[in-house]
Amino acid sequence: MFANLSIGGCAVKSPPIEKTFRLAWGDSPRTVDPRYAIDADSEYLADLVHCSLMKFDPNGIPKNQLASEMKWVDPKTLEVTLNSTFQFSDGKPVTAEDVQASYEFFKKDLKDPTPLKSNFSSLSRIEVLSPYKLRFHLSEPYIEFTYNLSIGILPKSLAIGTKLTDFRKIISCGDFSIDEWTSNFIQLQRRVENPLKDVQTIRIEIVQDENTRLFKLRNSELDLVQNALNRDQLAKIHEYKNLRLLRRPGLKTEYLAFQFQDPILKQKKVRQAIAYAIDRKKIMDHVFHGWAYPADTILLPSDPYFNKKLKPIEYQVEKAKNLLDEAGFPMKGVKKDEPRFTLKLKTTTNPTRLIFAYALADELNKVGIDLQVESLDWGKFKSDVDQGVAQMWSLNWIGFKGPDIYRYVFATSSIPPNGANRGHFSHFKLDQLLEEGKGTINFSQRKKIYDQVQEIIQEELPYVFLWHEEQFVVIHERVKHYEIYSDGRLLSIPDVVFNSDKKSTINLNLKK
Amino acid sequence: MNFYILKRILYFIPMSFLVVSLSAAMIHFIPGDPVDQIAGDFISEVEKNEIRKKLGLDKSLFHQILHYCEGVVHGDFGQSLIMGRSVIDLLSERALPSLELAVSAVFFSVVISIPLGILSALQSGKLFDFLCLGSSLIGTSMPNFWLGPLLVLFFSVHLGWLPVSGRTGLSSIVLPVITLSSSLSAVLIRVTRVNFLEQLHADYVRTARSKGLSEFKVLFKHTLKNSSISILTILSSQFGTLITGTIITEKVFSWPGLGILMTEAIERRDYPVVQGCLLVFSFTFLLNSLLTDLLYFWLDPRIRTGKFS
Repeated sequence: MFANLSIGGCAVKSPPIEKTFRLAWGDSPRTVDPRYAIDADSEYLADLVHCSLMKFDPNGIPKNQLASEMKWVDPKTLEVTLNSTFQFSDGKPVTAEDVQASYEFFKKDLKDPTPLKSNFSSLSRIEVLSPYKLRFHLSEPYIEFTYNLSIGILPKSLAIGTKLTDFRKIISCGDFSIDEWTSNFIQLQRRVENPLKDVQTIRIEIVQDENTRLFKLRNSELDLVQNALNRDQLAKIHEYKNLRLLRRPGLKTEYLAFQFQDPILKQKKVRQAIAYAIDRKKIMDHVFHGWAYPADTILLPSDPYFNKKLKPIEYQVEKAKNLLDEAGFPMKGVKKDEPRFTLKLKTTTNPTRLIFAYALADELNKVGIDLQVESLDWGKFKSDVDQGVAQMWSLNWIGFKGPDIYRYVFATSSIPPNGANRGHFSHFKLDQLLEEGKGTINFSQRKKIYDQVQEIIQEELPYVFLWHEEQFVVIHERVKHYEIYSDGRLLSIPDVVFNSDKKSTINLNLKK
Repeated sequence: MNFYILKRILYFIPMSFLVVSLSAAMIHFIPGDPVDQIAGDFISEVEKNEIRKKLGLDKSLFHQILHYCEGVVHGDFGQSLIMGRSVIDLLSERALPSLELAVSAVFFSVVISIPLGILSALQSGKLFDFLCLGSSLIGTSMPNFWLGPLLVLFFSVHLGWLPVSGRTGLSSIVLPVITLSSSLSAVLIRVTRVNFLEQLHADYVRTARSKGLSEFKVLFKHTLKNSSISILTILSSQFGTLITGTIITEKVFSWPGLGILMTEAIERRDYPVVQGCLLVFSFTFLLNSLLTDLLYFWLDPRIRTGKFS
């Protein structure tokens, strides 16, 4: 009876629960402006609210949305034809001029610079050919430019302005518009009511505490929590009758990286020995309850560019010891426990990563390497890694699309401050292949290039790839047909179906 | 008296700036860079430097603090580095929920604890006294981050009486208030009991009784008033605990207050928001001590006459 009363004048209209999909995030999205969205939550939100030239499907493969066709005229010119049926929330059609203004924004010298600007450094100009056709002209061949076209389109009137901070001013062309944005929830409303769909409203609650998120699910106050519960909680989900756990491989690759400026680690045999000394299966079973699978490269096995000929690096302690002997680091033998050498691993304060770090130290100890673990606050960790003052570190790559990630991570030209080659790895042949792959349009030619890239990386081991973590979703029994996206996007929410006999509402609970 | 209040209010200004400068310096000394939070991973150091420059983060710490203080004097608390919204907007949006929670918790504690403390003193050594002392011991020992989830598990998940979290209606404030006020209530019960017991054996109580005053007047007009100075002192000194308790309670119950705003801002190294929150907290702290002093004047004529005769 009290549930609909408001405190302190905070009255918000409650949509019917039968048509509302409720989920929880741990943090508020950082921005309402799709051109500034770099945190996952802002991206997911922008995806539901804005249309874009293309979107990624559940497997992370690009597919056209606003664009009806995208074709490369040459490796530096992309021609895009728009679907003329899209409209903004003010009723105006989405035209090539809107698209042009939305992307020219990234070329401007802004007072409030957007971090996504660097994605468009190769864009030189945009030419409008007709109301529904335009061309992107690039300064250099860059085929994965199309992967950047998932950013939401704004009408020209907004796109030429500065950063948007007020949700009420947003004019969007996606399926939903932002109805309400408060400090503890965001409510989206379907722009055009569709009687064939069960979900007319999406309510995103901001719930910082993971125990509270689980309690809300158990209490039927939420329909979904994605990737925001810990593994101990997930292991107990089967005990709650109204909840189900769904999983799928995620675009998330955990790795162990080496600093090539270090005299010990620059030796290939040492890196190989470390790779052979890690029992990934055991660690995955213990740390992730088996909800991860071994990684052989950054790309997922389902990626079209994944090299299926890569041989997994198996756990072989004796081989690791032999490699270390061959590298000139024999066991000292005077005292039995005296290590061959000492290394230092820097890691964050993330509990999972810390458990892994100590497990790794234990594994390496078995082959005679003394590994010291240093756990740092994220800011300090990041700055140490960027400045190359970490011998070894573990981190992950999340949400990457396309094989050009290898150039950003391993090319000599990507050594900081220009990229993420933080280990200062340098390989002439690899650099050549990565440059070639960047401008190759033909898929099979491109595939051959990236097959070689993956082979070289597995041979040279600038990283030891550890595992791909799974995306997991805990969902209420009233929801049917929810499909998990490999990058965590929430684009299947608009199409889910509610199981009408499974009642779920806090109001019902209060009436007991 | 008026001069004293004016002097105390004027003290607010240098004190607030001292708090802000020190806290600003401390948060800048914590390793980590807001630009990493703004820019993410896929951006080069050159571009990060560009962002740093445009936001004025490339300047010296002293210069940044000075610039911030200048802004505050002109009523400009700056903009959130991450969200781009004005800090004043964010603070005003979050202040009311925090105030609701804190005031309700204090009110609940006072209303529950003082009568219980008095009854406990009157029943000293009996079963009721024992139960009160026992429950107050539990209240002091139980941390908010543990009590909160326990209450949710019982009242929301098992009984389904109250919502788990959020600020959706009157029912949603019940559990956060109980959680937040538990330790304050526990301390107040003990202090009220001890002081009341002490006063009950004082000469003036005996005199009042021998003059034939009713027991009600003896207890509530004389004894309670004389105990109230100590109760007020404890209430005031618990204010800091209340603020830290608010931060934890807000997190457990997703209560959209200043505590959550500040912890989020610290994690994101959103300097202007952290400074804004600290300014509000320090201001309320100073206001609390001023109000306490004023209440002393009102409650105890000895303080009044001693100072201002």
